[in-house]
Amino acid sequence: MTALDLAGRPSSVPPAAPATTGRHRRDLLPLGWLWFALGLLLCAGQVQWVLQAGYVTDTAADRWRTALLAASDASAFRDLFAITFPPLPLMADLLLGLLPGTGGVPLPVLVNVLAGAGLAAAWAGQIASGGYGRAVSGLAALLLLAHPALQQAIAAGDGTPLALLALTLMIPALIRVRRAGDVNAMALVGSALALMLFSAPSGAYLVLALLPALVALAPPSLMVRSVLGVLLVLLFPVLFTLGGYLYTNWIFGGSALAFAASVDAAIRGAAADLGRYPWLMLWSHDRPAGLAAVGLMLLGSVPLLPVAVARIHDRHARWTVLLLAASVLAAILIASVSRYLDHPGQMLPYLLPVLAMGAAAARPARLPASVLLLLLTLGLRGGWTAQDYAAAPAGAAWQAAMRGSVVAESAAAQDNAFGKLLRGYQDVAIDATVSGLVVPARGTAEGLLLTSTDRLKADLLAGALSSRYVAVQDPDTPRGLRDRIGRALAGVWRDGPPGATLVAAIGPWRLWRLPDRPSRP
Amino acid sequence: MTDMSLVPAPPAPPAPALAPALGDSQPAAGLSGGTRAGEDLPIGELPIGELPIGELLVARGLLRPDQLDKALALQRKWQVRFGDIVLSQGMVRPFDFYRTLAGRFGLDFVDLMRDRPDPTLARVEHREEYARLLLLPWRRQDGRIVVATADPGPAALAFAETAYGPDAQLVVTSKFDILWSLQRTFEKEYSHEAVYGLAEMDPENSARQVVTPQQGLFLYCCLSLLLGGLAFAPIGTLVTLNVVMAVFYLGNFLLKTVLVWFGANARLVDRKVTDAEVKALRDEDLPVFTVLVPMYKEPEVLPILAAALRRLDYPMAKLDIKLVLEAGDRETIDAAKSLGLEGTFEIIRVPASKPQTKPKACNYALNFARGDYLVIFDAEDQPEPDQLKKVVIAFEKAGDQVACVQCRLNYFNANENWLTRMFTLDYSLWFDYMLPGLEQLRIPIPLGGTSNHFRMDVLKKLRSWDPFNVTEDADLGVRMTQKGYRVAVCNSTTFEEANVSIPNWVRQRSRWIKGYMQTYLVHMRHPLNLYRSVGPGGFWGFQFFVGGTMLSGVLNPIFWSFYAFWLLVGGTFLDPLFPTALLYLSLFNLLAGNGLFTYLSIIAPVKRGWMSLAPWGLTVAGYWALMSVAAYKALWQLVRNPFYWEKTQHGLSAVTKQEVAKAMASMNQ
Repeated sequence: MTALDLAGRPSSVPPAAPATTGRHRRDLLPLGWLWFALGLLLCAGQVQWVLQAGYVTDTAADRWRTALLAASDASAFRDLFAITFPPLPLMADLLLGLLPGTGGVPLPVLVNVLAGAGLAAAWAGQIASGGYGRAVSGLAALLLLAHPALQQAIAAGDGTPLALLALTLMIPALIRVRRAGDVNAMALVGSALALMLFSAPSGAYLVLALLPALVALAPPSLMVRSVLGVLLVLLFPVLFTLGGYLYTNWIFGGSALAFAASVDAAIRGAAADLGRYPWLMLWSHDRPAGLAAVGLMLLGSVPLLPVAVARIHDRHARWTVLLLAASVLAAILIASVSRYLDHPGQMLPYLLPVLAMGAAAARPARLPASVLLLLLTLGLRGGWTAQDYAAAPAGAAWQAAMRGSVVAESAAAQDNAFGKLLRGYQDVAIDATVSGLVVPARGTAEGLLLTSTDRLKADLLAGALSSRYVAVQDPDTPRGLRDRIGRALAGVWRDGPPGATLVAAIGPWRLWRLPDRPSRP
Repeated sequence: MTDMSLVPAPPAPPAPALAPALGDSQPAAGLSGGTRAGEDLPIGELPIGELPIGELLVARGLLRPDQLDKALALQRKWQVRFGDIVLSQGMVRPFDFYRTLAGRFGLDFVDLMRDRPDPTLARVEHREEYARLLLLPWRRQDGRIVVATADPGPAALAFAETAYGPDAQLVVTSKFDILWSLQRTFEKEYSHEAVYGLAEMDPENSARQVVTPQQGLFLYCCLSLLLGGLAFAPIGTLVTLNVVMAVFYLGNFLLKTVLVWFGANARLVDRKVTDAEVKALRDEDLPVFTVLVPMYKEPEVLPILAAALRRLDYPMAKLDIKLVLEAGDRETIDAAKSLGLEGTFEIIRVPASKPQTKPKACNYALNFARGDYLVIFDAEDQPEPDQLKKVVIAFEKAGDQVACVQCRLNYFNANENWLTRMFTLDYSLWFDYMLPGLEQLRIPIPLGGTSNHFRMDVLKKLRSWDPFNVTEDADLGVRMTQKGYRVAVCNSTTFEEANVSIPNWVRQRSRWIKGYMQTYLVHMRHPLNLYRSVGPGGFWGFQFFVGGTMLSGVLNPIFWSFYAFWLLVGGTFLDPLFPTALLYLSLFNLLAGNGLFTYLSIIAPVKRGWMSLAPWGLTVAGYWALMSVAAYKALWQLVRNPFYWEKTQHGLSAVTKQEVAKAMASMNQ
């Protein structure tokens, strides 16, 4: 997308000479890397700061552990590959995990940091294409990246930054679709929707909210010919990937809806612990008040949005930006009502790509650079306040960590210690799927005998372990209740397997050493 | 020698503006034989040789004054010779024109249909000059050679004097007579050259030999290796085979995704030649364009083509239109005559010989082509009126390296039934997306059947089409790239009739796939040469685009069968064939490949705004099944009857019948 495209050039005006465009792109390229590097520094710095304070969310721990497990064993990969939702972050974690030097680094956070850096570069490019100076564009992109809602999402280790990348790709394409029915743009929109759906649950909510908006955003000239045809072009990638995902669930998970168990568990888990979630307790049920609260948070967090929308001259771009913002709002409401969303701030980052494109479409003549930067700076402060309002535990912990408080939970510390202990042991039977931070703390799942392997499955059926060690959790803890080894071998935590000796006990964890056998497989 | 006496007249060269042109010259019914110039004409007292030809025609009552004014105006605008104007516009009958022309120069007029030329005088080595200069040694008279010409200008005279001595004498005849006599005189040579020209001059590029000994040996070794592997290490062999197939499928769909992505770029592809550029063209700058229309037993669709050609926004006097018909195809020849087409278009009758293929007919007709550019249209084609002008601009913009411009093909009966819808999606994807993508990525472009426009000099230099290849166009496109030329695409569409019947479609498609197999085998005779000539991108693009297109049709049913069997029976019996990495690759191919190809079919009609066709893309799997049927038929035919041309029956569509009626109405107006 060129600057002129964003400015809503009438179609009769001949396109810019290719040489000029090429030169422009070449000029932007090194700066793109600069904004990427600065974005990387910003995100990495923030993440490092909160990690030092012990901020690791359950989501990040689960994702990290899942990636390590999937990378260690083919059968584990097959099981997790199918039933993990959303699957794209897992893919990204696995790919990054292949890189040397990533051992011990929280993979989900690393993925998010890289995604954040990518967002900075992409937004800087988009804003610059609207006619803003390079420095202003880069600064504006970094201010957008620094938004508390986004920084929290990056540190939280969920897939929101990946979904934001997809949305960042989608918005200019959507404007091109609206303006000219461009085929590539339609395919890009379709693909971006699929990426969003499988990047984060919040992305899935946004896709849901975008469905009616797509009808209004599609080019009228094509819609009058066939509404079904246009929607099919836009939605087929989502529908097909969804079908493909259900198919892999069926193949590897035994049921097309195998993934739903974990999604259901997450929602039920949040619902069971409602007392800790003021937003779910208060606002998600009181729709007018909830809506007002979201509106106020939105105004405070992104004051640029109404100004940019009012200043956009190109009607296609204005309509697109407006509908996208409304869709984010609708997604927040749907997610709140369905008790998925523990705080609107979790989905506020989806407004940031809309802002970047809105600013670009408004252009400096109608939205001066100084106003742009001022409103973005105000948004930082407003965003911080909004994040603090009716905050969920994870949000509150992140703010505390940002202020320098230690927020590490004791369970995490115990997992961490036990995981470090396990570094020196091989052939350890463990139900890693409910092991919290143990596997990440150990650094790898290599040397662990996982419940996904045929060997441990057979052992559990036979009621006798063939491994050298077994690690189990206290069955009286919530996680221990779900530990498959503990459930299959009653009393194993308390007494250990027959003839076993206790090697270590840290918090709820116990490590037993089994007696040597002459013919161990 | 007849007893007709010819008055030797000093061959005064005509004024350039009046030099007769190479229009069409079918003799009218009741045409008399050789006549003395001016005989039977009421112009005895007119100062012959001084009046311009136009005024002569008016004076003889053969042309109305208003027609003369119009012709002169067109002449100024188009910058062509007067004769070309009046003949191409149908203002004067060719017979009348040439007889008047003879009188204008005081030459005799002869009817070569009645007074046939002496075949012993014509020399084989002069064939090209005869066709180019429109002349033929007629007879020996009083020790001098009399040369008949339809273009009695200085060039003809110079050639006659050089070839037959300074006392050679000219007489005038019609262009039709010259061409007809040339065909009759050199039928054997033309026919031989049409069939064996490429095979004799450039055998490495001819499909006359289906599989070379080296290729045969290679295939034998591969087969032996496979059988040996299956005997001694069956699982390992099958896994290896599986890996190769998986990589092939992956490469196939990745390439096509990239092609569609590049091909969808509207600025580079769909606005390559703009309307403003077409408007800016001046008629006088336009080159002569030869239009070849090879036909066989298709009289029913002839009016569509005739009407479409008359709608072309191009000076008719600069069009050299040739209907290329098989000599035995009486029904089409009669249909052409009954439509009066012989007045405007030339009819080339191709003598019977094997193989009876379209490329052979085109090669034959090429001997008589006089354009700077040449295009092939099928009988039922409806090119967009400005296509030739767009092509001229495309050639100018593309540079000398581009030897061919391929225009888009699509269908005028898209909504007739499921098959026509799917065929339309197929063609839209192919011509609107993939070929432009190939052009941008510099991958050899297999030309489509019609609407490919050539630079005449390059076409002749490359020995034109391979008559042994049943997709001679695809082969020629690849050959051009191999020889250092390029093929470009152009944003102009020719509309055709989509097959409405599945058996007819399978016949057509099996021929195409067989032709792709031939093309692949020909150009893979020396893989290293191909690699060097087209580069790595072109080489791999060729493997996956041409090789992939034919191979996927053959392989798909095998994999579908395995998959269906596994779905029905379940179990783990296939597990050994799918090690972990291969399992995920195959799963990815299954999901991403099928999803992607379905999606490509869905987006195919978007460029044209035919959104109602998009949902039909969901049924593309049925179309793939038909393609596999055609692929197996093609494979069988490649072995049993490689050069057999599966004829596609046109005119079956109800829409075509309406188009014919419309065309007839427009021609009657």
